Amino acid sequence: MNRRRSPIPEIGNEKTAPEYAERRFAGRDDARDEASRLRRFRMNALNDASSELGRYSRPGEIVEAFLLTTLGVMGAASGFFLLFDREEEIGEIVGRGIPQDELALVKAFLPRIEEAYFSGSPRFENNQPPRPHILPFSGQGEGPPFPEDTRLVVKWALDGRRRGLLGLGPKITNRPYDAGDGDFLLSLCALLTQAMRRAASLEDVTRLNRELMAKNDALEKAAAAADKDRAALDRRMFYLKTHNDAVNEMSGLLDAKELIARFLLLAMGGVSAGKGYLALFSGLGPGEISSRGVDAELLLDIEGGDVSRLITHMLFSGDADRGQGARRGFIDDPEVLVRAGLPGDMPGVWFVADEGAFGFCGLGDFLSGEPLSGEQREFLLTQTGALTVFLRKAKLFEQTRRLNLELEAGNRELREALENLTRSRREADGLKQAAERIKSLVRGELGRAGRVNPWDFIIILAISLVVGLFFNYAHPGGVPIIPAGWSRPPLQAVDATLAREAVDAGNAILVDARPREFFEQRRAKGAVNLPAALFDFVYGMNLEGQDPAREIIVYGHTVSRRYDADVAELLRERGHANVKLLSGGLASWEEKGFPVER
Amino acid sequence: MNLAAKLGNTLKSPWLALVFRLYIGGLFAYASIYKINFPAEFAETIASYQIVPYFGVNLMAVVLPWIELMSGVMLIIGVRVRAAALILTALLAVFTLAIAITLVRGVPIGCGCFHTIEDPISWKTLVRDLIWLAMAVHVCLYDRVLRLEGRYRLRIKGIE
Repeated sequence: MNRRRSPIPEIGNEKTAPEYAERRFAGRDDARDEASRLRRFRMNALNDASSELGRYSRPGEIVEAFLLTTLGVMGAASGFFLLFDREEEIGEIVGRGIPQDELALVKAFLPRIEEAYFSGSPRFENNQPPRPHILPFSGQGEGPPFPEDTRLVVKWALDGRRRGLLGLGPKITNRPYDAGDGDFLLSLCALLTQAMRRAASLEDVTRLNRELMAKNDALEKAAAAADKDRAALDRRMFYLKTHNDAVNEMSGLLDAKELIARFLLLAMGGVSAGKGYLALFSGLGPGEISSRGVDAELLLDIEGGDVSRLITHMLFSGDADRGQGARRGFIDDPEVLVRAGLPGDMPGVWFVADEGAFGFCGLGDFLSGEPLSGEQREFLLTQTGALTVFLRKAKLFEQTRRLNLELEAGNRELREALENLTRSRREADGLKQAAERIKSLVRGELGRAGRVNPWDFIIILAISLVVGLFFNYAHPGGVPIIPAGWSRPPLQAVDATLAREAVDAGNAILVDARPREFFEQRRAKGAVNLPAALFDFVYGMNLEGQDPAREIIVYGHTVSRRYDADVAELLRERGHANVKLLSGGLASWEEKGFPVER
Repeated sequence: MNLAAKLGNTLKSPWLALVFRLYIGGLFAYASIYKINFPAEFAETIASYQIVPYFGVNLMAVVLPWIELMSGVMLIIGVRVRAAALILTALLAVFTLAIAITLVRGVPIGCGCFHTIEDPISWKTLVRDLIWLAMAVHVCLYDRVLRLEGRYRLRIKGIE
């Protein structure tokens, strides 16, 4: 079945190798011994070849050994083997008994040979390669340029990858190859297949082993690298932790002085430095310097101007790592440091905190005794970055506090001013109200002054009354307010007719009590004028010596004065008991028609 | 402005009223002094007019001079001018009436205006009193300057 399906055409008279051998030796009894000998020989040869091939493990060696063995047992004068390896894409040629130039020619045509014989699908049914078979080959003049003496070509394949062509030259005996040779050759090829398969397995194992070892190596390398990485990571972790701690510590500080002192300690601890200093400037003069383990005299000469020049130079020259414009950087060139007045043996970090504030932190006496590593520099720079942030923060805090204080003071003043203003305004309001009240009062008074108020009269009259009465009471020449007549006993009155009779009879004296002007103007005839004002004088003149018992009739009163009563009283005081008033007075006298003098 | 208007203005002038005011004030203040000092004599004078009832004569003699004095002083210094002027105008009116009555009655008495002993009342006395009465009325109507109270009015005008 396999035979029938093989794509390769059968060789010679279209018989397979066993058939060919069978036919060749069948019926020839005379040659039976010969044949059995030959078979034995071939069995031994196969056995030998098998053990011979088992000694090699590399395909090249195997092929070479196989070719030699084959040539030997087949009795061929020359032969070659073309081995193709699809994966390696090269062909290998092994030749024996073939001139070098022919071998070279074949070698040159190897790709074409491969293409001509193996261009089919490299895959096989059931993954089984076709069994080796002898190709029909009729000598030179056609096909690929095999060596000239090639008589027999066997196509051989181990698997999809390794294929080969075995070519044999003429027998030494110069006899042609028969069917037995063919079978034998195919058996040998089967041995080759086994050997090659074993070699391939071996090669696989070797390759796998090699790969395994390579992987092992890689694994070890990776483990070493991982260890290294872990160490670096630990270091990094340490720096990060230190940085974190530093940030935590510095974040609580708001005073620049404390901040730089703390920073110096942290930086020295972070890079294991034995001494260090930090100079912070806010101008060109001497700045704030904090130091640890450094001779203070070394730091006395550090001036802001020098450091400022250095930093300006660094700012514009740029740092290799950070490029131009970075606000901090590392300096370890002693010459540069000394030129800026800084100790040359202490490399460090310069930084610019903000406009006008800058500084330098130098460190020395490192525990490791080596210059700072890149990581340490990186750490210092990071740390310095944090410091600048906190310095700015401290400055801002200071500014904020100052502003707050100013604001508070301003507020206080404002509040006081406001209170003053309010007080003044209240006072002004009060004054204004008072002024309004006074004004309205005065205006009211003036309004009243323009008008006539009944009270004016009442007051004037009342004051006059009180003052007048009081003055009159105190005045020696005061007058009695209550008429005196009211307190005297009533006097007897006499009718005008009776009075006339008494006067005419000379029994009575008629007295006119009125003032002289009235008396002279008109009087009753025969009356004597005796006004009260001149009583003593007139009485002495006219009535002195009169009989006190004699009747005296007094007249003369007006609506305003009781002259008669007053004078009658005076007369009674003089002892005249019979004093009477003329009833009705002078008017009654006149009415009666009694005489009146003018 | 014609002459009549000018004259009218002059007659209504507050300064003329001031002159009258000072004159009348001084007159009464002066007249009151004697009456205050001699109340008995003044009481006789009042009685001589025979107008006041006998029980009111002395009281009037005691009080009236003080009224005259207060009103006169108030006119001079310019306090409650109008009230004082009105009082004096009333007094003058009463006096004039009294003189007129006395003249009609023909009672031969002195006026008693300033002193107890004076010439008897005559028509001249009445005319004099009428002139004074006119002056007092003028003061009532037109006086408004140089008052003590006026000082404050000016001040207030200054404030306003």
